[in-house]
Amino acid sequence: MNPKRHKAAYLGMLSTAAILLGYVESIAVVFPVPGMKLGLPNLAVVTVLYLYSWREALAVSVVRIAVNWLLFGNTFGMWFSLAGGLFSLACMAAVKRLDLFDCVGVSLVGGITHNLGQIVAAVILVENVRIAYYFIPLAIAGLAAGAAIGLLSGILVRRLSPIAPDINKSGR
Amino acid sequence: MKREQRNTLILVLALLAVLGTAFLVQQVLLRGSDGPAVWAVLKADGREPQRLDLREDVEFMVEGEGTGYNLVRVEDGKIMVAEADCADKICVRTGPIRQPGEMIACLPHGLLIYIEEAGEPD
Repeated sequence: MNPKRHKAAYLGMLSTAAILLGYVESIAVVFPVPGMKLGLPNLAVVTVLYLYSWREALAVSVVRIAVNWLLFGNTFGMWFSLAGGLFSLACMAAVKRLDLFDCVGVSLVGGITHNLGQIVAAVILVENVRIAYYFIPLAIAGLAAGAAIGLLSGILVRRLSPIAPDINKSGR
Repeated sequence: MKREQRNTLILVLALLAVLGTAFLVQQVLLRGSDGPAVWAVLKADGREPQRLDLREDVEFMVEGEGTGYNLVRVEDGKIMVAEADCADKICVRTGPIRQPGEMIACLPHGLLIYIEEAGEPD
């Protein structure tokens, strides 16, 4: 099969997974602290980051957020998702490049920085630093959820890499 | 254990130590000003911050330009957002608040309500 098409199919499938995971999360779990979440879509993003590179992960992340916006029309939610998603992906890509941590470490950095990005966006939005009080509990939850997502991604990457096309040499 | 796994473990422990300490410090700081707080401050998009006396029950609408509404209610010394037309309803789900340090945020509407430290304001 044409490897380019093969890859497009893979990325399409993983984008769909990201969209569905985001939807499941939005209806299934509610936490006491506003903004606290499992970050299920990040499962797809981290997997793509490891199977391919940050470029493909960025594409999946942006497609997910755009489709969510088209489906539900929540413009505010879209900007907020972008603030968390893009910042966290940038941090994960940078940390992965350091080659110091396994994908659990990279993913938990993503969990924490997703919250950081959104808190900064919230502070700017309400023009009040008080809202940053939420950061510590959110960061602890992000650490735990990110690590769990990283564990799952690690398994997925191990299972998918033998059959996924055009794998980066550096990724595992 | 592989090098990356060991490093990750160290990272987790270091972050847990830092964040855990910060969390405890934050709790102590907030609880330190415990007492009968009776003032809430309401900030909303394009409005002057507004101080509310929690001893007086009121209910009023906060409407932003081109955003939406939040129905704010003060009752039994507590303040809450009773109703809103935002997408996620986080402000409504937060429920009533009354302790210093607690807050209600409706980010889509740029609304923030928080309890002031105990004591009379100016």
